[in-house]
Amino acid sequence: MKRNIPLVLMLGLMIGIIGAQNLSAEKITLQLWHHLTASDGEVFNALLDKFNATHTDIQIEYRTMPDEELPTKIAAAIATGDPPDIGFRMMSDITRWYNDGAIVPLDDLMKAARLNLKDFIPDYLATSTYQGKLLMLPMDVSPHAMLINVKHAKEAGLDITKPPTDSASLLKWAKAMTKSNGNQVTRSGLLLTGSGVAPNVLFGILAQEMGAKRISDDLKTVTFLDNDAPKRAAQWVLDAFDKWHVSSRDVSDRYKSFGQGVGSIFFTGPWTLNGYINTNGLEFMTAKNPIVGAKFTSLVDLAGLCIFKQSDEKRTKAAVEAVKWLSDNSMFWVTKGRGVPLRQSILDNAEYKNTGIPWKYRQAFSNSIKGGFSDEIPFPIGGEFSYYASGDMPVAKAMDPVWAGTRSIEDGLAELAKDWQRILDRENEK
Amino acid sequence: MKLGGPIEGKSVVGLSGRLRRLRYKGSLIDWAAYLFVGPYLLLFLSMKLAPIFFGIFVSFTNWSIVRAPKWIGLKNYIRVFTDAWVGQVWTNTMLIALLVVPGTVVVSLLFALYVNRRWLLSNTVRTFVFAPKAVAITVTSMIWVWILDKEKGILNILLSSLGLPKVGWLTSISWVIPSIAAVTVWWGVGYYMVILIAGLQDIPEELVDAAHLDGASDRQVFWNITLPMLRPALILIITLEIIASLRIFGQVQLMTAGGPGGRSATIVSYIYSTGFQRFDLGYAAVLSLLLFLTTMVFSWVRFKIYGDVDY
Repeated sequence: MKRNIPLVLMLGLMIGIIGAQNLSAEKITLQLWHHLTASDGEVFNALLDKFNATHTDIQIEYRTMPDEELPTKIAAAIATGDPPDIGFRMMSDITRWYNDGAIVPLDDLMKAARLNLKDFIPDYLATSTYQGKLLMLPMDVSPHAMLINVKHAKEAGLDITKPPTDSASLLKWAKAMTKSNGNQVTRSGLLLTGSGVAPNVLFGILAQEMGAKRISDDLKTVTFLDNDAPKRAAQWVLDAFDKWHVSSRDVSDRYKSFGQGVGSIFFTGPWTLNGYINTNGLEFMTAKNPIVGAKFTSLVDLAGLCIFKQSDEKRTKAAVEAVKWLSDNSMFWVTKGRGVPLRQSILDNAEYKNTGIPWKYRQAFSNSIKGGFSDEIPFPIGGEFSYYASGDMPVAKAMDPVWAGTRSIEDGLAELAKDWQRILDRENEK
Repeated sequence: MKLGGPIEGKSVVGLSGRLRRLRYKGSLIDWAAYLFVGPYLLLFLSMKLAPIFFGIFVSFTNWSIVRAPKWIGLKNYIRVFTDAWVGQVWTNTMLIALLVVPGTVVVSLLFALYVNRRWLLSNTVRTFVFAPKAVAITVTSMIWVWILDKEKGILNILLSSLGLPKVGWLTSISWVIPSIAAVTVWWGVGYYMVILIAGLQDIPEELVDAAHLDGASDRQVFWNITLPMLRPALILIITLEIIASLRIFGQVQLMTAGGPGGRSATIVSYIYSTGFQRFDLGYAAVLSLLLFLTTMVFSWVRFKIYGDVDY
């Protein structure tokens, strides 16, 4: 018996080691790739860390990549048969990957996981759908609203409890807060840049408010010039520079400029809140977009989680569980991070207003999601129709020369419509 | 493998003997040299040449990385002729090159002459002029965005203090290209200055002394001795800077994103956005080929004007 004790101990040790390995072999480590950085990234990563802390059988290993690199890296990973398990992205990318055969539709999976899809705001769930399939579980929506420099408003004698609600009051505020040196605007009452995202986003919001529609529902025909809304919207933006002199073309960095007090009213998204709240000397307030056109709207960026196809079904099942958990626990993300929740249960939760970034800042964005329009049209080339445009994106290519004063509005809009139609025709030929 | 053993009925020793005796144009082939060059050649063929040929193939296809390329013939090439943006970016790039190339040559030559003559604080000047080249173009661009800002930039504050009007260096259509060109020259001058200093130091002092003895002024020495002797170095700089200017990307992407109104968008930024943001790799390949041909044309023109240069 004594001789057998070491043998028994060794056998017991071996069984223990093998057993432990088996246990750890059941743990699945999922790969999640996202592009969120700065304060957004910190909050999102903290949410992922919370998931890891509360799960022993599934862990998420996350990687952050620059926004402009992520689609390329994912495409390369798909091509080599080794994509991540979960991605955080927009529909234009997700629909493209779906067409490449890399994305798992979520409808049945989420139903099986008992995620209540009726809890989501229907319009945004519809925007997460392509060819009748739910491809993205939206995590947040980032509408545009006004940030207003309170110090400038008070100096100008404006009532900060009654922010602008229409074109007339917007202009009144902008003019009151503008500072000029002769004809040169030295502090923009309405902060724009001479080209790029700022004027194009404002143009888009106004055009949509005035009744413009970019393309037909069958995604085949450009309908942008079917009425004069784009022309009136473009004229409004141009007038801000040249007629009312409330905007300067000489602003190169709009975010820095608002933070430094070089601009008074800034149309932007909730991703700026964390940074500006922590900016010394900046006192600001937020307000819904004024109604310059026929009805209220806001330009909205929608992003969410998608699941990539894997050969191992266990990984897909684990990914579904992870995605559901992240969605169910997204209160943390939408109160401390950026964006507005798309789940009614969160919007109705009393905690929603009392947690995270102060409600006085978040309220305007939260109130802007109903009536908002998705900037990206949800199909593979949807990004080409975005108003959030700079560089050689179609809206920027066509309209930046208009803002610069080197092309007429008519020529700019004609060029834009033609470019969009060419893009649609090429896509439909595929 | 056994030496002397059969390989497909032939002797290894016999084969190696035949290889050793092979001649090319009357001279024995030095196989050892090829063995030394072999690894690099393999890398060159696989990493440089093969991608070029693959790029040519891709230019005839519709390809977005994930799925197999789909042959579409000349459609991408035809598209170039209907794409107005191609003309815009080519014009912008040529304008930048027209400013950067002579600017770099002249400024680097001036600094090289100053340093070579060991004038006041020449060592310090050499260090300060070379220093920007040690900084990445991304950092350089971000610093200059701040310096050139219209309201808060140091340059405009200085202009303002001298009673001069502020200038939208990066936001004005008239000034954006000269501003980008100036930043590019500032960043690149140090590297070429060093090349020119080496060239100046290669000029035999006896020639200069002899010229002075014959009564030549400094200016005459410069135009008739220094510049001609610097010809190889200058041609090298011109060639390198033309190629670099055609490929300009980082400073445009970070300083202006191609604005205002597309007036600073360049060829490479368009290739980048077409290939890596739109995943329209076929069209991006055509644009890349066009850039390659443009570079070849410039090289050919340089060759025709300056002939073969012995470096």
